[in-house]
Amino acid sequence: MTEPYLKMVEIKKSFPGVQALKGVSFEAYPGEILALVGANGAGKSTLMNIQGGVVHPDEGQIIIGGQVVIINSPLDAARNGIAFVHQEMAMLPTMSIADTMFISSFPLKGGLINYKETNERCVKALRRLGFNFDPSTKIRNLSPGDQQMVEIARALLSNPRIIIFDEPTSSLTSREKEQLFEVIKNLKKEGAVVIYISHLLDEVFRICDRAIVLRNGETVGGGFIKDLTYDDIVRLMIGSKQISQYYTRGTRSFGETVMQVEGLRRKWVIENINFSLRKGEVVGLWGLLGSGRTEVARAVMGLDPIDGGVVRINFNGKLKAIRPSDANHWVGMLTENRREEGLLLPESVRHNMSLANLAALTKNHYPFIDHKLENEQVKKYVDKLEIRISSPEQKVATLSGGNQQKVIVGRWLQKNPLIYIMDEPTRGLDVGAKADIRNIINELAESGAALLVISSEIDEIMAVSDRYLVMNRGHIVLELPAEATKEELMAAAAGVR
Amino acid sequence: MTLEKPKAQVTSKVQNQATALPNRVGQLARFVPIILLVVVFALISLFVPYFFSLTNFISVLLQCSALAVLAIGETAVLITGGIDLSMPGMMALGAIFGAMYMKSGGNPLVAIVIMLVIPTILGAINGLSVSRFNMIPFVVTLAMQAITSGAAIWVTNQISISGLPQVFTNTMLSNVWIIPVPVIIVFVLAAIVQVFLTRSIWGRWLYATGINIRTSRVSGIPTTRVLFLAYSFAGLMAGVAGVILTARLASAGATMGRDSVVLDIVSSAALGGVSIMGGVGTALNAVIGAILITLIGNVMNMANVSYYLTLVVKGLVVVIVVAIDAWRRRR
Repeated sequence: MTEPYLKMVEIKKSFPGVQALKGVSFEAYPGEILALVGANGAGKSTLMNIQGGVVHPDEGQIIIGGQVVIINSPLDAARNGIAFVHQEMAMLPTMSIADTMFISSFPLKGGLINYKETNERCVKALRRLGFNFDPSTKIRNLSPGDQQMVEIARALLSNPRIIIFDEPTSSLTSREKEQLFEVIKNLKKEGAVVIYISHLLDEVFRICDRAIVLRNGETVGGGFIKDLTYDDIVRLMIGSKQISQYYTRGTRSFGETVMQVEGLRRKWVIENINFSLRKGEVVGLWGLLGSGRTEVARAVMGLDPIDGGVVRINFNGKLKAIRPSDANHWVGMLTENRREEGLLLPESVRHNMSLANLAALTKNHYPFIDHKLENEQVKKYVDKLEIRISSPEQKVATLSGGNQQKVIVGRWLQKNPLIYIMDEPTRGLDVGAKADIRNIINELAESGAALLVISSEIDEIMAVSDRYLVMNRGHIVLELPAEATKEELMAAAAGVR
Repeated sequence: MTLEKPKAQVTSKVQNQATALPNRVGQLARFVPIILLVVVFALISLFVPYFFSLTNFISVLLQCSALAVLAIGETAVLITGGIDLSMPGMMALGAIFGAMYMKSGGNPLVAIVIMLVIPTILGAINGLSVSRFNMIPFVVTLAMQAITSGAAIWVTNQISISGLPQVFTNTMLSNVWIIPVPVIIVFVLAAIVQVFLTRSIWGRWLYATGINIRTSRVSGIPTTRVLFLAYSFAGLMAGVAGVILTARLASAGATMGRDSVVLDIVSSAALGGVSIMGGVGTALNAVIGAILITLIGNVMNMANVSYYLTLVVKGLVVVIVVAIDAWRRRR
């Protein structure tokens, strides 16, 4: 084999509280498609952000073409021939294709943009990918797949030698996916180094030559794709010693259906979502990042507009359709982004905890809030959830993540809804707080609530769920019972049939 | 409370120290407008002979009463994180139609209702545009100001409507003991609004919407209705201000709706500690802000400073106050 063009040597990086990379090394050769595989949080993104100059490593070397390089900024990365096709597209919706592609590299003529050349180069770049768009088409008039192609065309403008694709197919249709694979194969023929990051193993097996598996910030294995099986990779992703399920939980009995979702869809995002929740049941909505989990939760809650489907709620034994905007009367929600959608950061614990239940606090003298009742309620749930605060007037911004999350839980407990949707309820929490939240989930289920829990951590979701709904590309692809193993879950989410 | 565990107590103590300082600063910030008012009043009393007297103070209050009511309305909108630039125009249009009705022999009470209802409807249109159709408050209310002030000039031909029934002006300007009716209206309104802001569910919803509309929506707050009502309320306050101003001027005219009044309203609210970025402010402090702005105007008037320079100073006041607000938030 030829010399490796790219070498990453013992890359280490820690963020406050986590060691994201514990010494990762790999090599990539020209004319090769290298898959970088790993579960959520394995360190793939950090590694690639280091290569792209977005994050600086604490230790380790990057060697390109035999020379040690230091990449301090995305510009440095570009100078070293590295191009990055991002998972989340940074698009300018109201601008044209040509403008978007050349926004940082317009060809100039006398200080003004030379549009003739811009358009010519734009058409040429798109033709290379097999596309025939008018360069003046507005980005917002393109489908997500076509937008992705524009993003790729932009990345290829500088003729990079190393091209990193980060989950490039997450918003593509199958036709567009085939087109992308053609493009990637052509890049390989041209002798580029292609790094392909994906959770979707069927894609990895289709187009990649070699795979490297990351787990908990370490390279745990890999090899030539032709020598590997799906099971090998899944096992490497989750770690063989953790294979058995070590969370035990008393079996619960489930009651009647309290919520039924039928045919829910939102164009480009989720399609034909059907499920129901029963009293006393915790349903784990499992899937990899970008599979549409959060979008299902938001659609059910009426936070995002939907293009079709019904949500029904049980009223005295009868399921009745509700308006999406009314869902919050019966459903309590913990959003995945606590600071942006969960809390009123400048406000006190008391104000944050009463937020969803204010109507009930005015029952004595509407519209005035009964302060005695409010303080009692806040105290009750602060005690129950063991929230550590100096006083109910303490600002939530000064609390730890775990206590902040409990404040939001307390907000809903006060309202006492039938159904809870928890999106990444333990994200960013320490081990103790995680355990507390898990216990709360179990207690809620035992008290008869129905819960839909979303988590990126497989251990987490396995610890609480009575049933799993597995999502992939905006669809619920599989339903698994509580006994499902880690391998089954991981394989289902990765699209392995 | 729950802190039986020793570990918990340690944590809470540490957190307590961390919050003590910003909390105290936050508490003090509430009193800045009133301290500022006392200082400015004392300074003026020092330099201007015969300024310091009860009657003079009451006359300042009367002079600023319409502005204070406008500032109360603006406060509700600013708390939601929006802005209403159309209050002068809505006020003028309502006042003109009410005055025309009175002049043609209509009942003054009905005229007052007209003066209140027209701006409230216009405010509701602002509210609908912002809340239901997600239009940008700045643009919506700027357009409303253009429409209403333009219509006011068009309707009146730039001639004020005077010769209003004496019953109207006399009643509106009568004193209860030594306090003029408009001043009473201001303080009763400020007190009611203050109680609503701090004690009622609508007040809590209003602040929550302004602090973080996404959190509010997730928590089930009817943010659309809250926004709609805030702008409608601003319209109603424009109407009340219109009634007061028409009585004080004994006429209603298009000049009531001139654009520069917006500056006075927004600077009153800003000086009163109402944040332009939403979520912060009280009605009482907005009233104090209005008194301050009126005092500044008076002093500059007494010193024979050009009206245009006064505008420059008021503009600078807004910039400085908003800069302080932005600086405090950044920390």
